[in-house]
Amino acid sequence: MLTELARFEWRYHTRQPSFVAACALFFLLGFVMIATGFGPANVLVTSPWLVTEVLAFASLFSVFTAAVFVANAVLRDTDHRMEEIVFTTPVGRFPYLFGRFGGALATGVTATALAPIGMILATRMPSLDRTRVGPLHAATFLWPLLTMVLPTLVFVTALLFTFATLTRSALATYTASVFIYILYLAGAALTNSPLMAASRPGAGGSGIVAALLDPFGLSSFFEQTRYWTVAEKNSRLVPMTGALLLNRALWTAVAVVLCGIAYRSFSFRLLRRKKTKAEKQEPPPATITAYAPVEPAPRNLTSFWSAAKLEIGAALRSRPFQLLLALWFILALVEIRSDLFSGEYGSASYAATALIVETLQQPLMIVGLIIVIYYGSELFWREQRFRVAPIIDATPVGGATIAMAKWSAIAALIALTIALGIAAGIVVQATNGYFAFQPQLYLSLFYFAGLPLALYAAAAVAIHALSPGKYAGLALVLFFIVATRNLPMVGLEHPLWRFGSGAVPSYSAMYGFGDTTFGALMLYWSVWAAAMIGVAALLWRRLAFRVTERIGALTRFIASDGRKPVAVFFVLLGVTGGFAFYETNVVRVYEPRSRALDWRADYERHYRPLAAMPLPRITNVTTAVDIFPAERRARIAGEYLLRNDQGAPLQSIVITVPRGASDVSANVPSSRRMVDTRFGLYRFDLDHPLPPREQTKLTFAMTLDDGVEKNGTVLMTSQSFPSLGYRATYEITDPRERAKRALGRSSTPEVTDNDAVSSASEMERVTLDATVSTSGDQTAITSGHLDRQWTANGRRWFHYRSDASMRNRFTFLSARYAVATAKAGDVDVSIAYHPAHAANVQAMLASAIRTLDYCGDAFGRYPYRQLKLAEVPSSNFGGYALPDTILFSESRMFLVDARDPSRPDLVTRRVAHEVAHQWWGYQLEPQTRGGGLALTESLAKYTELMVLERLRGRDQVRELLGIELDRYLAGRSREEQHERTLANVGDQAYIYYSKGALVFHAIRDLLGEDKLNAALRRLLDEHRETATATSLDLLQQLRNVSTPAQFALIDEWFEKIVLYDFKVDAAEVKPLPDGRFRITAHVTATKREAAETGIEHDVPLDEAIDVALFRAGGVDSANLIATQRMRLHSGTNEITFVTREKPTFVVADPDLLRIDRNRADNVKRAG
Amino acid sequence: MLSISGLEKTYANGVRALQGVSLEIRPGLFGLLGPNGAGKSTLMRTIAALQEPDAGSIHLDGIDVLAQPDELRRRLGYLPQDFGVYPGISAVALLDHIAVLKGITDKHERTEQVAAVLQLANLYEKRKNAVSTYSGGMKQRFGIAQALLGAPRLIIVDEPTAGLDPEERNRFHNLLSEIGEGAVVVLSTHIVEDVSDLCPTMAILAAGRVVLEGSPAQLIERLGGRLWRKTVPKSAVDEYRRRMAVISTRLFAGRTQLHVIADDRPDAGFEPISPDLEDVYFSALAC
Repeated sequence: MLTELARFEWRYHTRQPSFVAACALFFLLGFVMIATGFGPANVLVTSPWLVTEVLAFASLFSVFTAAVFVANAVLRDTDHRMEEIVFTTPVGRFPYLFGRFGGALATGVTATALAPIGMILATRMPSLDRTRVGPLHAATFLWPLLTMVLPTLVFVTALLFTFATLTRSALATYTASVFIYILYLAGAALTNSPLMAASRPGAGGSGIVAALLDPFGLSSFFEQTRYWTVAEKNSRLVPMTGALLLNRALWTAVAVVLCGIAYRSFSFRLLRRKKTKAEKQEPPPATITAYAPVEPAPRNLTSFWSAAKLEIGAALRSRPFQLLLALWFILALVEIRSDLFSGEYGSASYAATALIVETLQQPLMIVGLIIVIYYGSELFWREQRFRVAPIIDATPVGGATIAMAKWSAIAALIALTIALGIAAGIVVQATNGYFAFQPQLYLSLFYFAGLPLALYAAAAVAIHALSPGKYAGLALVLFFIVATRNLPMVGLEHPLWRFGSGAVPSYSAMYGFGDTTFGALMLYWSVWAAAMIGVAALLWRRLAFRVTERIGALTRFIASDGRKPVAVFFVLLGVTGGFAFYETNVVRVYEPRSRALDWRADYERHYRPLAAMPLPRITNVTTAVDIFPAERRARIAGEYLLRNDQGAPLQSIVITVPRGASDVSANVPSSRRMVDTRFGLYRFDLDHPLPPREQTKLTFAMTLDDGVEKNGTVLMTSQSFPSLGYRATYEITDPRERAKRALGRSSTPEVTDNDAVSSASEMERVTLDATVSTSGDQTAITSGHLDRQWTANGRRWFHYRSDASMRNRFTFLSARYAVATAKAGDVDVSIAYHPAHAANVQAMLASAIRTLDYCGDAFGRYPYRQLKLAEVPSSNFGGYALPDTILFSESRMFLVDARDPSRPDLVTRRVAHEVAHQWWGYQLEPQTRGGGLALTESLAKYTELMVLERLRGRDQVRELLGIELDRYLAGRSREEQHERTLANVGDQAYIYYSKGALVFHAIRDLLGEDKLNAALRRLLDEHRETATATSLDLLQQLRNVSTPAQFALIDEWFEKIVLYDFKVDAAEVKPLPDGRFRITAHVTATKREAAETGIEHDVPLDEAIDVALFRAGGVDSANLIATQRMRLHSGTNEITFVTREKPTFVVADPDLLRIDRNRADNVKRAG
Repeated sequence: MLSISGLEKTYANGVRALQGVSLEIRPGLFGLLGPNGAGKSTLMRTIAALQEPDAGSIHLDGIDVLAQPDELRRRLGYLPQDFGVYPGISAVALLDHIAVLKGITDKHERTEQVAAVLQLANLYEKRKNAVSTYSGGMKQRFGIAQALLGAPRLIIVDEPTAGLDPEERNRFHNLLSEIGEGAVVVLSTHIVEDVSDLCPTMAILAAGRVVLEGSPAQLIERLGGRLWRKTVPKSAVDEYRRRMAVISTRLFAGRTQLHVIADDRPDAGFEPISPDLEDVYFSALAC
């Protein structure tokens, strides 16, 4: 019986068009992800870790397909009115339900299992980097299928199956699948899953609840493998332990319970619709209305309203949709709260409308597309499903009216969803006492999220009109959405290829919405959407016919009556497409990613030899920068004074001007000029070679628009001014893209023991004389002392002059600023900020003053008369230091809410960090080579910790170091090349920031702050303004102030990758007769050294480590009872304390003085 | 006046549903009789402009239905053979919606007419209940009520009484006879009594062709004096079928009654009977 049923189910399912569509979807998903080289460059596409990620990602889509299969399995009796026949057969409850469930599950598993087949085939693609293909092992694919995909499918199918059996309603089943996504999104929001674009660095390590919440197991998978190295990713099957095992077990158990519920409450009875109201018997009519014919006068608008109202009303009355809206509201609250209140370094932000709107954008798109996919299919086929079609079709209503009504109804549901998201935002704002709502920003969501979704709704309407039925249509719409959103993967990158695409512009409170082609593209896609609705209108009365007949009718229409509308369509398409193309490619510079990379590669190929060319030195920069904010344009003119510091005469001088520059002029006296306009490269061959110590000058002028905003202009000299010689910054950094273009190693040199000469452009110290003008209502800022300001011709002028020589790195700012000032000794400290962003100004001033004091005392005098802090719109960085001027971004500094003392104080530490760069970077200027960043970023990190400790206490430092430890361990796991040592660090933030902070904090403990600072001061004094320092010089200074044993450790931390693990195994408390307590703790310690390849081995440990006792209140200074510094050796160590107080926690290395791989087991409850 | 001429329709699976159907139908009730599968629904759906024929033409009061389907739809009332309704929507709301779609855009007129058809269909007291909760007969009456909205010149009712109990059917017949004035009402059915009770003119459709056309009285008249009946054992039926024109057999108290057409009494056991419409129907199908 059971096998018969199973065979029938299998045959039934596999003959559905939706099954074929689902199989194609999963196959392509697997194929495309591997063929396009998904994942980090050094992780094999055949590695267990990557295969697991791809398959778990594919299983996200199984919710859609499972909804269709379950509907096919359970609702087909209801949909096709077979219930009465099937339910009266003698088939038992168990075989019936089990057969149907098995059928849905088996089809789901089969379809998903095509993903690995697509993946395996893709590994044979010639386009794929061969070095990323390793040997294929069956276990690599079977293990994640078994542990990740299967439990997910079992749960998803069980949940949907239970809903479908209990309600016999497709809509309710869809809502159940939306519920699954909401769980996933909430889990991802709480754990910062890397699959979410809004993933925030450093807020990881959140609780187990979040990891359990995600029914796909992705969040726990990422948590589990967060610290995995490349070697582990390439070789280890993801083990079923910890949170992942718990997650998989939990959801499988839930599936079993759900099946039980379905089985117990199912009976072969027709589900009677719950009568909400009793039958109404109205009194007979008071007056007899005689029937009289009424001549029809059809009006499309009236019909449209009536139909649209009917559709929207039906959706709003349905419990499933109400439930969906409620779920969305909760998700929106979770997303907003987690985005605002667990930001980078565990900080919180003010509940500014702009931040909420940015947060809502992505989940809105996801939920909106889900509505298009599910509710689009449900709404479109309503007349067919309830067999009202013949009645409606016989009325004179136009197909266009109905098609428009259907589309409008979906659009209205999307609008309602957006409105609810906005309501969630307002609730979060109000409950946090933030009442500066910005309605126009909220409303922009209807435009930037609502419009693309409405376009997708039009596509869905057309796809359904051409699909054999509801479920096949649903699968096709899903396929369409996935395909159009991933076209760049197959090289169709231009927005005119991608339906509904249009980049949402950045928003800044300073300049409003940034420049965008969104409107032009939306206009173009609206023409398509109108045509799509037209297709649906035409086929509306033919939905009962075969697809081939419908296509036939369409082609006949196009050949006859349709000529005119089709012609109009093409004309409109041409006009709007032309306009969109003009806006994208003509008004703006359009460059596909690959062409931009090719340009950079060509530059490197042509001009890399110039890197070795001797260059003159810039000694003075005189410039006039005229900013025209309203026109978003700036004119830059200037003169570089050039001196030959080389030993030999200079034959020629090469400069590169910015890519976007126009009206360029550049001259060197008495020279022949050669220009390569493609790269903006000018070569001046001097008529008379420039002898050593002699000077010449470069004069230049050009017009730029990049970086000029209506309010909030930022022009960096590194991008907006000519530079001398070869521009190494043009080189491609992504190793995969370099390999693709056979570029070999980049030109950044490695540190060696030999003292090599650094590139001259970084050595230069210049004097600056800048005259900056801007519109009458704005203030312009650059480095230097403000000598004079005046107004002329309705514009404001500012004359800045350097009061001491500076590194040649400047910025020119212009905005409507408010300014706050303070004094730090004889230094004028000022903050220029957007007037609405005043909240953190005082805290910033306090931190800046404190840092100036600390650094002045410890490392030497601050060289300028002023320090200027200024707000800029960009959020690419939190802070950016330039000589005597520091930029801070609005969202990552001015909107940070630092009021909660229990959170790491991002404002204080970020200001301290950037002010510290006035020493570490602008006075101590290391060679550009491996390890250089340890002298700038790591030392700024160290200074930041010292200032933070003084201003906010040790607990804040401990908190911050915990985050740095996590960032270091997670960063090395994501490393795409080799992890370098701190002494040889390249462009690896996790090393120079996070490991640097941990190492210098540990050295401070090892040597003491005075000794360390003395060494740093010596380093600075010896290398000030020479740009010769390397990490070896730093190590030398440290050696001078330490004992050989101390230095051995320091050297190891700099020159090697060492990782520790301390674990408190047991802690016993025994009361002593004298009322005191004896605490005996066992600590297991290991120390391992990792090679750059990630291969590790044990090394013996013999170091003094703190073990401390804390009260129940927590691991912080207020609850500290006692600390002992003990020599710990590899293996188990026993430590004994005798205390007056009974402790609650025993903690090994509480102050994070070592890099500990697993901090969670450093704490043990005593008892 | 509805004129149909030379309608042909062959489905993709090879079934020839209509083979040169031509009919002239005057205002009043017109019965279209035929067994299941004769092509009645195809014909009804074609007249209602829900599908297109391969060949032929349909004209209603001078309107070319195939060329101007929207003109027909403004004058059409259609009760499909098998229809459903949106769940949870009351009769009055649904009628209002259909009235809008039919083009009754004046709110006052619409309310009036919806009230009128509800009263006509005897549904007024239940108008606020969801149509999906109606019984079969009520649902059919709702179907006719919606067909009457507007000013239909052509009303098509496709198999309206199938599945109704005698009382419901009776009520439905009364409703139909009330509206059968002025407009062309085409009643498609396989139940002979529907036609004999209601229709002054009729046609019989079999295998996609019109096999008989006229008024029921005329057609019955034509069989007058040529119809014979005999009760025989079941086992002898085949023998009789071979020998004479048996148009129908019917079980009566366990034995079989034969109806035979012949100019003279076929044999001694036969008795002459007066024909009814059913005999006309069966004689037409038997040819």
